[in-house]
Amino acid sequence: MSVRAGGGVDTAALTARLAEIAEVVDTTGDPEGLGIGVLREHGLMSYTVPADCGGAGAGPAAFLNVAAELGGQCLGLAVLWVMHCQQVAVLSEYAPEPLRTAALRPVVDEQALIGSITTEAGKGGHMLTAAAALDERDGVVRFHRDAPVVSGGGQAGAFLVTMRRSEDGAADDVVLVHCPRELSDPKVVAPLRMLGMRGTCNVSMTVDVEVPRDHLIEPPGGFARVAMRTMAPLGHLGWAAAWTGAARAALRYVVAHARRPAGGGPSIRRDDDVLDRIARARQDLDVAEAMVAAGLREYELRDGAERDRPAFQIMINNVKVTASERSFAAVDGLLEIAGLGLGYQQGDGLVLERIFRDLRSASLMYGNRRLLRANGKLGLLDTAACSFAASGPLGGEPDRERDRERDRDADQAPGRG
Amino acid sequence: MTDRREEFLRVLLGHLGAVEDVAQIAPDANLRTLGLNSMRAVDLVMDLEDAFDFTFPDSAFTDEVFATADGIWAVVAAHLPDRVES
Repeated sequence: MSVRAGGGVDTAALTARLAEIAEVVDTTGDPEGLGIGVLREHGLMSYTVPADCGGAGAGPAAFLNVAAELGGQCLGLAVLWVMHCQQVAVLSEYAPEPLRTAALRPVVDEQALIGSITTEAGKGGHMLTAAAALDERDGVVRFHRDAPVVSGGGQAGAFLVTMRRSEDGAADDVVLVHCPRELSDPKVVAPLRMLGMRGTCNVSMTVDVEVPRDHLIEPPGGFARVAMRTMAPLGHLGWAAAWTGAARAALRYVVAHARRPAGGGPSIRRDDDVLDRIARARQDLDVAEAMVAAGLREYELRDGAERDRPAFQIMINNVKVTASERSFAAVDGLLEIAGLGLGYQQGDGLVLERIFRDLRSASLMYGNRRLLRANGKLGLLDTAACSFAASGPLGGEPDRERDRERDRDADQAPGRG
Repeated sequence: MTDRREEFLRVLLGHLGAVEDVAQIAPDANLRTLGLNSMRAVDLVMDLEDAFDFTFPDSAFTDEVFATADGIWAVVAAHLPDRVES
């Protein structure tokens, strides 16, 4: 997979604009939403909105290319954009009409950001449960929700909120609610003061929502199916692409300084240790990108219930875990050879320190420890022990079937035997 | 209700967070609303395999199968030696 952005995005202009603002976004936490403004200028809010709703209709591969490109410039913004595209996919694939068209129209016409509210005090980021319950009476849904972390909460034009269906319902009985900003009384409590990832414009906030009942998104299988078949795969793939893009930017930075001739400014000496670390960083980067590419193939080949299978869930979790670990490991190693002067320091053109801080969050977002524990359990159910069954060459049933057909064709070919 | 189906419901009950009696498990009730999530479903499969001495097929681990007690029972019953009907 190439990481060059395609699908009509003016990549050069986009990256130039992001390069201009990345440092100020990192320094200020971007309360004005400068980064989101750049995404809007380039029409990226509607990039993955289906063409029948007026969007660019970009598919998963183009989506990942842009995620990687954004990740190379401002990782926080890239991750925010991936989450927006997740919400767009949920609306496109699961919202009933007329909600689907009504909810996607502002994304196209006004380049509106769709925020996500899944976190909750006490349960952290566990997406599939909710404590706060909605109150549904006379065709109207009302609820209050405290949200400790909302990316782009100050700028979003609407939110998709996970809520427990009723006061006496199970925490796992989660329903998704589309909440336009004007019907949500959003109040930003405070911006989050984080080590990095400041381009995500993370805030804690509250919403007091009152929407008509037809703003509920309740497809067959409920929210768990939405999460398992669409949100988790797109989120993990998109984040992994963004992290890979960030690590690639770090490697390019180090290679540029190792190539610069002595006397042309500060440089990195090309001794054996530096070469070893560049090799390792490249290896880490290639592993991360290979997982994204293989994960994308598997995602595109599996549909519906095929994405419920333990093998697919393990695979998509491994894309996230591997890309987060390897991207950070690559940048950590590169920082070692860039040293105090070119690595561990902020300043004009010194990007490594920011990428390092940003990427440190990768293993913590939808935490790797939880995903690995889930994979341990799911692994017991996948007796074939094959994550790439739909696409891989090392044991996939579809490939074996194709091989058998090819063998049969060859056996029946004239002139044989 | 056959003994085996009753035994199945008792095993299932142990993995539902929101009910306390097998009588509360309607055959077509949405198990997620009764507290069965995907991780509990993994534990349920392990317990069903132990209780009924069979291997739950990988291909049956889908959201649709685990949506209702009847969905899971159909898989279990199909693998019992005497092919118990519900």
